[in-house]
Amino acid sequence: MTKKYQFSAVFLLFYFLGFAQEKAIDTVYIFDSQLKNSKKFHKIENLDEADLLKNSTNLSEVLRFQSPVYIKENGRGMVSSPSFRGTSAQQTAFIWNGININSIFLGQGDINNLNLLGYDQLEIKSGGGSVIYGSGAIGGTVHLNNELSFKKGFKTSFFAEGGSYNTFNSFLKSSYSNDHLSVKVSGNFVKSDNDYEVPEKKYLNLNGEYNNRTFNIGVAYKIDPKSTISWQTQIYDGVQHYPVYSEDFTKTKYFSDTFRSLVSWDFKAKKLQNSFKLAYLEDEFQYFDHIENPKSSGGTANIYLAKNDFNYIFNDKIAFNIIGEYQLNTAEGFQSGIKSVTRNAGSFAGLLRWNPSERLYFEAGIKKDLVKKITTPVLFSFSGKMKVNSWWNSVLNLSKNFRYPSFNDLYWQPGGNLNLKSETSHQAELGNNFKYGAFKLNVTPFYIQIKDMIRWLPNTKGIWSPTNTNKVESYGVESQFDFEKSFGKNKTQFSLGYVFTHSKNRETHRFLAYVPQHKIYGNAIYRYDFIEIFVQGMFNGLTYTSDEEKQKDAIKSYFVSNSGVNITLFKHYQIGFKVNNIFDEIYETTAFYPLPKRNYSANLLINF
Amino acid sequence: MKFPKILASAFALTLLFNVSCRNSDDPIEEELPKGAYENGIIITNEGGYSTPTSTVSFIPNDLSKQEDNIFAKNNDNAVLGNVFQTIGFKGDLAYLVLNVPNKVEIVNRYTFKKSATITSNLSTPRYIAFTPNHTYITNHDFATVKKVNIYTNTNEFVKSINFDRYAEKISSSNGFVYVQTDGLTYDSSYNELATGHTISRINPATNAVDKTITLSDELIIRDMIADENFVYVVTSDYTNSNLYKITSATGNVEKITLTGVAGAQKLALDNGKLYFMTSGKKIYNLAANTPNALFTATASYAYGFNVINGNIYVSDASFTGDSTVRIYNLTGTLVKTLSTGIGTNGFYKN
Repeated sequence: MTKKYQFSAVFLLFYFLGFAQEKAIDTVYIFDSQLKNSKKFHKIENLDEADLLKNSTNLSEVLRFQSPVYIKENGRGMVSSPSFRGTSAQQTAFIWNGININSIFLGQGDINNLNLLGYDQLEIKSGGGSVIYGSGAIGGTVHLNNELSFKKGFKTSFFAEGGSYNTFNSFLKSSYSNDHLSVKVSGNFVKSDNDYEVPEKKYLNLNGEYNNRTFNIGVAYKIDPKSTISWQTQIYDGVQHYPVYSEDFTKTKYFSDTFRSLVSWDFKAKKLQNSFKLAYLEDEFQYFDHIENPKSSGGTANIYLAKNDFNYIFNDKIAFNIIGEYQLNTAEGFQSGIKSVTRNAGSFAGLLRWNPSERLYFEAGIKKDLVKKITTPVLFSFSGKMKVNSWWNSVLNLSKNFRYPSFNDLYWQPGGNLNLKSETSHQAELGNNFKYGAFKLNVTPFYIQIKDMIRWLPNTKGIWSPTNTNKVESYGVESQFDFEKSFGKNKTQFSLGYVFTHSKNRETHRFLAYVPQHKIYGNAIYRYDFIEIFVQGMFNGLTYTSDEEKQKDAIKSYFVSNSGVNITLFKHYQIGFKVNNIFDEIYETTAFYPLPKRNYSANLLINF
Repeated sequence: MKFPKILASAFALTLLFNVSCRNSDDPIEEELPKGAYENGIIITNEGGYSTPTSTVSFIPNDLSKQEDNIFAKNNDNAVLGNVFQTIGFKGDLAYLVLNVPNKVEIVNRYTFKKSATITSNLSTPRYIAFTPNHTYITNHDFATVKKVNIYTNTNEFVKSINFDRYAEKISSSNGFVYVQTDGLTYDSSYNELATGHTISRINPATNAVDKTITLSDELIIRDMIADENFVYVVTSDYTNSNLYKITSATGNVEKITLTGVAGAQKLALDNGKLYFMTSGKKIYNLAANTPNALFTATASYAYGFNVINGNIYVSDASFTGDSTVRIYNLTGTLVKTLSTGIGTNGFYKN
């Protein structure tokens, strides 16, 4: 807790520093330097603060209503896991300012313990990316970015929202920047009693309360026109109580504490760019199987990471990029048999970018990971983009990606298996982008094959143990239609996404559980001068919840719609009202955990 | 073997007497069926740990059909719960022990209509036993909770008896209650280890432990089962197995070395005969204290095991989907295969 108090003091200091004159000209520093380049080839959904605030409750809702990802959530704000293109939660990588932050223990990101209000923007990238983003970047990656701007002077924004079930969401961001220095401090606080009821399902989200806080501090300093040193640190702590079906159940809770710190030295000359990063990440969790007793299990994981990204531009047609990374992972479990485990992991990747003509771009990458005692494949990526004509461009992406076993897979007692191999995946996609006036359309068919999937099954002694067993084949289409137009004081924005996913276990020839075949999501915004109205809708098709494609147990299709209005007052103030689940749809994303019926919130956003 | 025979003849005599009484005094009453689930086998499906997917299935004695979800079906679609551990029977009542929800649902064993619920002082309940005046429930979370809760016939909580290491299987036999108070644990490198070697006896007159029996081997206690007069305990490691036959009334222990049997795990009793299954899915019965190998069952995860009316039931449990139940006759011929619920763990004669 002391760390946080220190931060409050620093926070205050920067407020005083902040009173300086404003300047124009925009330059934004983003830690994840590779992301910009990926946009050339991959479909990346960019969600800024205004988008995030439309689903301010949690990251699960943002992804559910504004991305192709399927989110399986055990009740609102509780344990939540993603599925991208029919892959599993461990096959989605969460990237914090360019660094993979999937849990070392679980191999997956803990979505509802990644508070969206702690980030400036979110980017959602479909498709594999292990060459750049490492283990777990198979189905797709979710990028959580903090950004630092220069020459913006003093800026502060404050957001507070109250909603149904005693929910309170808030953030405060304060930044100062001049020509050389940029400082940003932010904090957010979120809490909810979360005791919603779905009488039709005889369900009360009992013991479902949660609260969490994030503190961020970011500093960037331009040493000279070519060099920038930047630092980003995040402290998070979250408390979730897990819902129970009746008062007789033993109530449980979960604490999550993370500390992430990253220093980056970026050099940018005309022909040569280099980014050197050092990072330290600490993840601690504690599980209490009796809410009033001391913790029953837990763990602390540390990642020490050094990464260098070197890019050399030979001429205007060819560039060469070398990325080297070294990580030391250490972990200490509590009541899990994981005792002082360490892992050294390194990787080298090389990427060649070739731009032979105005209409053609190519990128080819190769990577080898060296992970202690674990066999890893040589990974590759290939992207080719062609501007077919003025309204159509087409991108072919091929890649081989992987996930290496998590510490739980290897060391959990009982069951941990030291003989596991990495999961590997081959995939192909053909992205097509059409643009006509204010209309945009993206249609991307994809194909993914995954082998040696790690799955926990009872072994001959009856102990649950992971093995490389499953083969999965997933194919489908992601598509998105966008329309944006302004006329006079009117502004409209409309986007509609449709995802078709056919994901089957190749041995049983059955559909995977928790992968809907159809998902449609849409967002429409209309603004007239100071008033904005938005509507969101999401249709989720029949979703199996068992390995046997049981219709009886499947989650039936549902349509959920949210709407809200934002009114800007006196330039700096905005008040907003939202109605979530307008049509009172009874729905669940994990069997037996219904999500809330119609609920409301009101918010205030101040920018100055 | 003599004693049951005497009993049987005594029983026959009583019947005769009854029949004759009826003949003289009352008009003959037709025996009404007690409910849809009489004369069959109840199958318990454990369900998930975090999802309320516990269910109960029923098959009649001739195995001719299968009915699933009989608890929900007969109780207005009530949710049974998660981790359905076991069923205990007392008279016309069936006590369904649900581990995670900390409750015991009491239903009529023939209609499955719910009549009461026990929740008071329960903490991860496991197994259940009865004496004429009390109900005994083990509570065991393999960490801090290791106790037997005692309730009256009207389900009022009486007391708890705490044990040091384990409180798992529980059986009532010849007026005493026997508790498995040791079992399996693991050392730091996850080798199987015995917590100890005790079976404890509760005297229902005082509801206190009046005897602690320490078994004379270093193997791990795997299972305990009882009939009217004896309590049987099986111990094993990966290579050896022993059986202990405890005379319930006296607490005297007879040790039977199961020569050539590796990893005996689960016990069953049918028609006065003892059966067991090993970790290698081999099924044996006991003939004159000598293990007699019958056959090896097919299962990727052999979980539930019982022998009822000369048929051997083995569940191949799945916790992500349907389990498979294979019913064999004593020679190992597959009689029937069923598809049951999640984590099928038990078979009960009804």
